[in-house]
This record gives sequence, structure tokens and C-alpha cells, in this order.
Amino acid sequence: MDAKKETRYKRLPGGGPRRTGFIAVSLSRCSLYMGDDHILAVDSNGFSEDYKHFYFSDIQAITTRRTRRGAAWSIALALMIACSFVGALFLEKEDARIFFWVLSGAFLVFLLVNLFRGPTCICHIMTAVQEDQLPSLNRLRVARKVIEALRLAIERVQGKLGPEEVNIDQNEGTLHAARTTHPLRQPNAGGHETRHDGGTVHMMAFAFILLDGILTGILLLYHSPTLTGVSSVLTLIYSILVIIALVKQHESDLPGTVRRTTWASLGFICVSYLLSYVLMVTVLVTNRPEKMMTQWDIYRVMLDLSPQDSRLVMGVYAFAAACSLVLGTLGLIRVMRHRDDSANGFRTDQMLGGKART
Amino acid sequence: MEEISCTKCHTPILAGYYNIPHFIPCPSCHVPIRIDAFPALYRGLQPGKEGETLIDDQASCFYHPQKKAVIPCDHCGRFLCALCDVELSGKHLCPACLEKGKKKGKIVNLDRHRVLYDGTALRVALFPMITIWITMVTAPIAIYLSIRHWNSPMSVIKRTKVRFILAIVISGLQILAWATWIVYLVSRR
Repeated sequence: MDAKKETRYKRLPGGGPRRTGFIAVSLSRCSLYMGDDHILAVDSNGFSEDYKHFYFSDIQAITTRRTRRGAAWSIALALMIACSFVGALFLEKEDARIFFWVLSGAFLVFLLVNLFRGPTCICHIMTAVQEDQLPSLNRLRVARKVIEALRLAIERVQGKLGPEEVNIDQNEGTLHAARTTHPLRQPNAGGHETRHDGGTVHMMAFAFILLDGILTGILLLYHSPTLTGVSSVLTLIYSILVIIALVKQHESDLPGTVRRTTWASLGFICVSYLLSYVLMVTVLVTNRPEKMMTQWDIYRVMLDLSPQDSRLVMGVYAFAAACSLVLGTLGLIRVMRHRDDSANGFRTDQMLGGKART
Repeated sequence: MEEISCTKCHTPILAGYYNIPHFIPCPSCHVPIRIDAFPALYRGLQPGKEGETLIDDQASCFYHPQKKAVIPCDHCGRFLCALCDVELSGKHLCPACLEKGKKKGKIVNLDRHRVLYDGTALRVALFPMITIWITMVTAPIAIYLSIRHWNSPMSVIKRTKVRFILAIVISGLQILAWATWIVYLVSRR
């Protein structure tokens, strides 16, 4: 059969796993190949391959959306380096220090690789019948390069998009109207409606974080097992509240500053749990493990840990206090500002006789 | 008219912001987005072709005797009307050849999935080496897979048979090692 004639494919740069979430792991790796008249997206897991053909004549658009995945990884890796560095500097045992030096070195390599690869993005390809993600184009630099190559190939088949075609909207007057009211704004016909959120959960979470920050600050100067116990209960409460806040802020009208502070709080919680774990392991190693038979015994020893006893504990407490105070204060200010704005908007709507936001 | 939406919040983005060389913020979720649009966006779906009715002594379509033939099938040579003509990668095929080609995996552009027997054979030969003992069973399996699927269709992307060769060599060495060990045990008795 003539159609059997093998298409020559040219491998396009980039490659990445097909995933759905922030840390979703997939065994399938996607890469792109350019054929004579189409692009081939190959999802391979080593044992089999799945193919998707996108013909140049059918491609309507390629969208590139910048993401913060790379920045988030950089922050996470920097925090890991900082934690390992703290361990390497403050631990007394030579073996443990060497281990943490090696660990921080490994994280540093990952961080440098991540920084070298540049900012992250998500690309989608659109035809008349489907919109599909191109997971191999997950870095901006590579995406730009590939899209430029694809643009040339597509325009060779379809021709260039003329201004008369783009001006269809301008003739209808929608573009002009939208430009004068709000940049890019047009009725959210097919999209999700953003719902109003007063930020009550956010405010509670930030208030607890601030309270814990003050308490940890006091603990730095005056150690008391009871106060440490109260602080750990507060940590548990605001951890739950931050998770609820993150769920609630999805598709809400909360400003980006509040959202980012909430995400930063989650990052801080993860780091503080990690540091607590490091402390617990250190306590287990340095104290007699046979004395600590149950979780309760370990918890009691942890409550008795005083910042004055060791530099490591002092460092962890200082870090927790500083972060809690900054995040709590910042978050509260931002949520309160949002609530004020919402209240003003509500009053204005009422004064204008419009429908108040619900 | 077709419109493109933000890939995060699905808010439609106006045509005036397509093909701008820099990122623009989405009106709803504010994420930076860039849209490269092409003429196909405004072209709309092409209507299907209709076969012309046969007049006098014109050649007729093999599948529709009342319709006028416009092109022969590039594979079987049967005359086809405009309705039966399926164009794929510059070739004109009849529905029967297309179906047959798809079933037999002979039309590469219609393949959606392929098993990589070479990769599988190599992995079957390599991974069990961690446990050592399992290689007694997996080495013959890897050799069987390599020989059985030597001529099976491989990846659509052109690749050599080096994985098959490696699988055979590694599994062969494993079998040789087991044989040597068994001979050694027997000779000790």
C-alpha cells in the first residue's frame, strides 16, 4: 500500500510527562515530532506508544500559558537547601553533618538545573474538534522555539492570517467596546463564574498564624512546655484552616495577593513540619531511644525542648516565629483590604440601584 | 465565529489579542497567556463532497454505480466517486482499502497505539537483574519476545533493532551464567 510509505519525522525539542496536578507523576513521557504534513505527539511509557496526529491544515491555534511551577520548584528546592544547610551547620555529629552537606549539594544541583531550564509554561494545540495539551512544551524557551518552527510549517500550508480575518470582531464593534471598558474583557460566556468570597476562613487562618508567631516569639525568650503544647495545637488548627482556605479560594474573587500569601503559608507549614521532623529525628538519635517507647513519650520530650538548649532548636524557633509573624500580618492586612473593597463595592452597587454581589 | 479561551479559566479572549508577540493577562484569572492563531480558525468546517450523478457512458464509481467516477483508488485501482474518495496524506483511497489498511496497521497515519516489543524485551532482560533469581525465568522470555516480534511493526518513529539485539545478548549471557552455575554445582557432586 502506498500509504505505508514511512513518514520522515524530525524530533522537536522538549519532552515532559503528561500530568494533571502540581506533583502528579506519570509514567508516560510525551515528545513531539514534525512530519511532512503533520505534528505527531507521542506518549511513551517504554512498553507502548500512543500517537496523536495534528495536521498543519487543521491547526487553528496554539496557546501558551505561563505557569509558576518552575518558580515553585525553585522555592521548594531553596528551602530544602536551607534546611539541609541548617542541619549541616548545627548538628554535632560528623557523619550527620557530612550527610546534610551532600544532601544540600544534591538539592543545589537540582536548583541550578531548574533555573537553567528557565520559566515554565503549558501549551495547548487547538483544532476544529479538539483542544489538547502538549506536555513536551513545558519550558518557555523550548516552547517559543518549537512554536516558531510550527508557525512556519503551518503558514506554508494555510497561509498567513490576514488582518481582514482578525478584524471580524472589530467590524462587530466588540473589540472596541471591550478595549474601552476593560483590557480583554468580554462576557464570560463559556467560562466559569467567579464567586464572591469574603475571606473569613483566610482571616481565621492568618489570625491563628499570627497568634502562633507571637507565642513562638515568647517561647524564644521564656520556655514553657504548656505554651509549646498550645503552640502545637495552634499549628494543627491553622494547618487545617489553610487547606480549607486553599480549597475555598479556587474560582473565587479573592485577589492574587491573598491567594499567594495562602500558598506561601502552605509552603511555610510544609517546611515547619519538615523541620519538626528533623528535630524529632535528632532528639531520637541524641536521647536514649529505649526511653521513648510511645509517640506520647516522643511528644513529651519535644515539649521539653528549649531553644536555649541547642542552636538547632533556637534556629527552628526563630525561623518559625519570623515566618508566622510576617505571613500572619501580611495575610490579615490583605484579607481586610479585600473585605473593605467588597463592602465598598456592595454599597456602590446598592447606591447605583444595581444588583449586589452575592 | 470560532473563539479561543484562556486554557485555565476558559474565559474567551478577543481576536485583537491573537498573534501578539508577547504575553497578555487573561481578563478573568490574570495568568499571562499568548495565542498564536492561524487561518484555519476562521475557515469553518468544510462541507462533505457529493458524488455527481452519472450521465451517458461515463465511468461509474465501483461502490455507487449511479455516481460518476472521479479518481481511482491509489491502492486497489477501483474507480471512486467524490463521496467514496478518502484523501489521506496526499493519497486517494477507497473506504475498503482504508479499513483494511487500518486493521492490518499498514497505514501509519491511522495508528493510534503501538506496542514496543523491542523496548519490552530489553526491559524484561534488564530489570529482573536486580533480583538475580528471576532472570532464570525472564531471560528465555526476553529471547522469545525478541525473536517472535523481530518483524512486528515497531514504533512509528524510525528506530533500529538495537534493543532486540541487546535483549538477546543480555538474556543469552544470563542463560550462559545460569548454565555455568548449574554445571558447576553438578560437577561438585
